[in-house]
Amino acid sequence: MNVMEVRNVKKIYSSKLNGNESQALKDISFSVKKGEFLGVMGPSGSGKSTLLNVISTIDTPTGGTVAIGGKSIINLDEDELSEFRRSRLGFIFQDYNLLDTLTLKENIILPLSLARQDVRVIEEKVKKISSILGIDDILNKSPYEVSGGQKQRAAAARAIITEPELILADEPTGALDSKSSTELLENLSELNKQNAATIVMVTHDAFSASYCNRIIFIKDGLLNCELERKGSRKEFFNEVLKTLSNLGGVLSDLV
Amino acid sequence: MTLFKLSVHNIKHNFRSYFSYFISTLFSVFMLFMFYSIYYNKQMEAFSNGRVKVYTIFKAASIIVIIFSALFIWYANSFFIKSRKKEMALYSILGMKKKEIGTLLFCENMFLGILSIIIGLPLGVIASKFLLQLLVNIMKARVVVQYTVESRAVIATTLIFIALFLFNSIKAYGEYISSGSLNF
Repeated sequence: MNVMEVRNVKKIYSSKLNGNESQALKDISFSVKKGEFLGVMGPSGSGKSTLLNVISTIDTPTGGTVAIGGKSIINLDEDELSEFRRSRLGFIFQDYNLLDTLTLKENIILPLSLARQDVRVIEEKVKKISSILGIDDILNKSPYEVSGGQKQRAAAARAIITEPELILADEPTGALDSKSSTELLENLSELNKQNAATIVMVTHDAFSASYCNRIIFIKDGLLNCELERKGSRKEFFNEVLKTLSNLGGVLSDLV
Repeated sequence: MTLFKLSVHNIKHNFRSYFSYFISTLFSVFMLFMFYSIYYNKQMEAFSNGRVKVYTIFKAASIIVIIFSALFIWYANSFFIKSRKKEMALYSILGMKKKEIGTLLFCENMFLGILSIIIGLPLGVIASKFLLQLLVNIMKARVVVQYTVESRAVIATTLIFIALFLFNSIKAYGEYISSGSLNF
């Protein structure tokens, strides 16, 4: 079953000043199956962040359709949009975006409290998710009291707590050191396996991408190629590196 | 967590980012009250009675003070809202409705406004006492001025600022509702 269908998505940015147009996405189609951990890679400027913004309803495409759970997410009205974001979408940002005024626990349960869920149900969910992510002993701390890796795991918990159909991650390891990155990626693949969570992760880092089941490569606003993981993570990592160097761009920019 | 609770929580725990806005509104309240308490002071009234010029100057000056406070608060408010764009975008992506976020902004604005009236008025009382004495000294008037807290000054200041804050809170709400895409 496909959780997400992206069909012929285009995005054109036009400048109001001189009428210049730039095509960030030319024609992109792909689908994501339930329980998949999909990576989106490409050199900078290839349009991967634009794609993620379109999928997450932060931005609207110029053409094409995006359907999540069989329902189009283009041209939703205000109520449908907030309902979609609240219950069907989880988002992990590069720079965490936790609220400094709330404790980690309050941050994690914010989507549920905004949806006015029962307190007992919330407590249970927090317990379960924080133990998977290994943050159960720091739940009552403020975001500025914990490390970047712990913040990002709290952000991941916030994204997953509503049990959304789709979790979108925009360079989640971009601000983390290698140890925290590894922990977070292992957590994500754990969530992917245990909860059958569907994850789409944008990254330019081959190591992060090697945790995915499948990777699509984007170049100049077009789908360039696709890579499926068959063997071990190490083999997949080497394959990713090879594909990236074929794709062009400076290698040091990609690794 | 209800919207009301969240707005109180935000102000309590994030006072630093509200501080510059709060200080500017506090200052406006303080200034206007100081002015009004001299304007409405009984002895000053008796002094200016019959002197049309003094009365008109005071009247004109009070309008100027109100206009400047309004512009000042308007500007401070826009700056304050802009500095919180990212937070609003986060609420939105977590599934809060535009109306709810607008209401949150409205509540926070009103809280801060009312708080600055509550703190600004007593400060104004203390300062205007000194200012009145200074004024009398400068004018070299040989009178002992009795300072009294004028209820008319309190009421006028409170009403004017509640109107200003209400207007700004509605503006903040309206601007958010009509704003376009999310900015992270």
